[in-house]
Amino acid sequence: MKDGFFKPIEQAEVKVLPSGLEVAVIRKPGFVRKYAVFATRFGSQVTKFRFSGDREEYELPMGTAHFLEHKLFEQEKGNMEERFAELGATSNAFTSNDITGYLFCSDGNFYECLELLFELVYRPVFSDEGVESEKSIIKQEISMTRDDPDWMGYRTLLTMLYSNHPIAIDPAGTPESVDEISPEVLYAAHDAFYSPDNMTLLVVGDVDSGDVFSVSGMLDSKFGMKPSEGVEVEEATEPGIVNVTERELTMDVARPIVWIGIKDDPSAYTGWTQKRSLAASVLIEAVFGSSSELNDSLYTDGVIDDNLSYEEHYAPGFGYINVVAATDRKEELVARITASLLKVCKSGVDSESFELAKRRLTGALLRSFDSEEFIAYEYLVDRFRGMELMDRPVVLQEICLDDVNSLARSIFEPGKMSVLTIMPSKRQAGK
Amino acid sequence: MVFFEDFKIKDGLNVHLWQTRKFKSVHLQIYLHNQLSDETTTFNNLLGAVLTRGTSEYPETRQFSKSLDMLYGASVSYSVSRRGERGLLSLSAVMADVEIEGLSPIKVLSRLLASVLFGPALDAGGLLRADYTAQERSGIANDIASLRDDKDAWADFRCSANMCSEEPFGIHPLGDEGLLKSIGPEPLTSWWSGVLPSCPADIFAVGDFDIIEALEEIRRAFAGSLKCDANPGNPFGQAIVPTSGRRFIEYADTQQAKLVIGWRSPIRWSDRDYPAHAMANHIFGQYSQSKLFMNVREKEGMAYSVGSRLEPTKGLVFAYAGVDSGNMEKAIDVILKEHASLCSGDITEKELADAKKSMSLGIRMSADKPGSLCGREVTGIVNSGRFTIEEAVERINAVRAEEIAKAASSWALDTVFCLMPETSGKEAGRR
Repeated sequence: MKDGFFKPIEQAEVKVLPSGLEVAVIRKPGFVRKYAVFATRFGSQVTKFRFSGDREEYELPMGTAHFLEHKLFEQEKGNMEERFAELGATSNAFTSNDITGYLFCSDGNFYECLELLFELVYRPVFSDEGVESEKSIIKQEISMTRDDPDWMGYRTLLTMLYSNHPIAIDPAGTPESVDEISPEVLYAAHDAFYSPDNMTLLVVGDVDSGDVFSVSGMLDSKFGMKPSEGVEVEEATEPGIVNVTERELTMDVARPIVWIGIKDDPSAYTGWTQKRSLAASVLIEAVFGSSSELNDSLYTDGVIDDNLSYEEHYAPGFGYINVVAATDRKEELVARITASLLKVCKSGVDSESFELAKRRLTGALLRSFDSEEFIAYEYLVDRFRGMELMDRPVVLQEICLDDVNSLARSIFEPGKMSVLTIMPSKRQAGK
Repeated sequence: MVFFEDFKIKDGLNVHLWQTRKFKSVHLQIYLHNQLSDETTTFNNLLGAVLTRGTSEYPETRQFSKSLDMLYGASVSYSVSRRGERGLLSLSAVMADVEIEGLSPIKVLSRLLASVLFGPALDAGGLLRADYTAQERSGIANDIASLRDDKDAWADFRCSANMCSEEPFGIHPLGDEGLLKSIGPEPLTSWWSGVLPSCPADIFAVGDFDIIEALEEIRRAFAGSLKCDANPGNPFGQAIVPTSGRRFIEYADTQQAKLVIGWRSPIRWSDRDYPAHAMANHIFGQYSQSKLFMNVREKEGMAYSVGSRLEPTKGLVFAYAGVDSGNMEKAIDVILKEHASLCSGDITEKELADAKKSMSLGIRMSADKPGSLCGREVTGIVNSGRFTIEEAVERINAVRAEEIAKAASSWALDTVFCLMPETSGKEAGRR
């Protein structure tokens, strides 16, 4: 493509069915895989809810959304993974704080698989025996994550940033909360959050969108799901300052790993999360990126020996940035990052760093569209958070230096930062 | 369907081009072949790290990073990997499909990757820079130690290290720490100017380019500087008599125990029996309906993560599971029992049909990811047996149950490796 002109990104075609189910199709000509994800606006951050007009409040043990994700694969006619395999497809599922998704990918029998996906999501069968046997598997999953320094660093940092917001809850829950889960809990959660008007079916691949819409319409009628009666979930009130500023964990790691979290205030971007999120993306690229002064000086001086890792996470109810590095000079690393953030807070990002960051992000975003997994996950997450993935390139171009510097002034001020250090435990040598 | 068109530039130097409009990025990657050893892995790892720090045109790392930002965030990376006892140093450059100052992406990438390989930042005496060498040496030493942070990767390595302690395959995937410490700018520069150009090489490009232009650009950028006349040796290794289940137990400060079991088979990628061997592994532990997944996870509830994998060049098979330490013996028994059942031909028609579908889908889907398709081609090149996707699928579909049983029976148990939590006591897990 000519200088500055990129190949256009595919747009999503969206249709809402009479039941309220939203169906979106993103065509990827030439791709082998056809990828379908059925997702609900329900994740680990829902711990209490009530049906509209109902007084009774349901409490969900931590890990309910994730447990439900595991158990929906068990159906009357057998395990759903097996039935997808019979059709030559692979199936999977995921749970995050605000989304649970069920997916398959195949290159044949696509519409047969789509029917199975409707059945999986809409026809739960939970037995006491099935729920009990799943508990030991999920406890092994929890046990595995407890030994994973990346997972523990990320999850612990969230508990330090947030006092009340349930984003800090581990999606898998705890061994104790998993023990509290019963078929009744799972049915209640399914009734409340798996109604068609709370869900989106997304198809990515070399498909005909008209066919997807008409087959989805037929399947939606066949399963006869109705819009929900409404569910109320209480929003948490979260203070602007962090919950815990500093903490240490001990794990079997080779050297200290430092996690720094910086908390944004959602009231500062009410109404336009996407712009705030992309401004944060440009800001951290400029401040922590591989061509930033900070990363370069830390690397050159031997404080770090790999580039800094950093990410931004934004939704209407929360926004934060995290930075990660392994180092033997923790105090110096934290002091230099803190000093750098204060400097950016006062003086802003310079225009060269800003332009380079935008340019890098523009190319990286376009390249990401080669991955169907990226498109599927990011499209759904954005949509459930009131944003549009396909608008990202345009909104990114609209971000100006003032947007970035005004964000820096707001989040790099003192009191919004948590520092977690994972320290190596004393252990046996690995030979 | 044939994806890559192959061009021989000279003995030892081959170019493989896949012209496709499917992607929004252009991908260029070179694989340099050598005999796997501590020396080649350590030197190549350090060399890759130093070469990607800067070029003669942009000698400072920050300048080099900014020059990549100007190419809309083009990325340059390297890795050391292996196929059996063939060591591979790979360098790749990827960018969004966009012209830069009137130059096509394939031209930009060819020049960029060649400048990294052949025009690095040198000091006044013509040596690779001492500061970069020292910093990357320290970084790689930390990477070598940090492999332990990922307990799955660590258990996998420790099983191979114990099982293949007398073979090159048993070395650390990132190199030898002691040797690393001894490498200064002089030996590294000698390696760069003497050893690297002699390695036989395969260059892959994927993207929407003109194939004649791509071939010419690649030839111009690489052919003059590469001799490719060294013998990278036999990748299959020497025949080794399996040790019938030697038990190794090591400890870590973890909650969960990790089990890895290794077998040796005489069957290799290019052999007539390979499709049956690969199918045996698939049915054993490589997909959601596999014997290990269904029995260790779903029936016994012992593990969340369980499965098996094949090393196609050297003929190794590994099964792995993350279990509670109290269940270690039971997990070993169940896995060995499932292997025995496979050997006895306990494979239903349905298992056979589902596994074929699953495996064929996996092979066909590799065409959606340039990196994985290049990796698959390299495996074929190293093993002197390249198969199109259709040929590979046809070979799988022709496999019969008795051939699978025969292939599984060729796996001779060699090593059982247990990574136990320190709290489980030093006697736990011992027979």
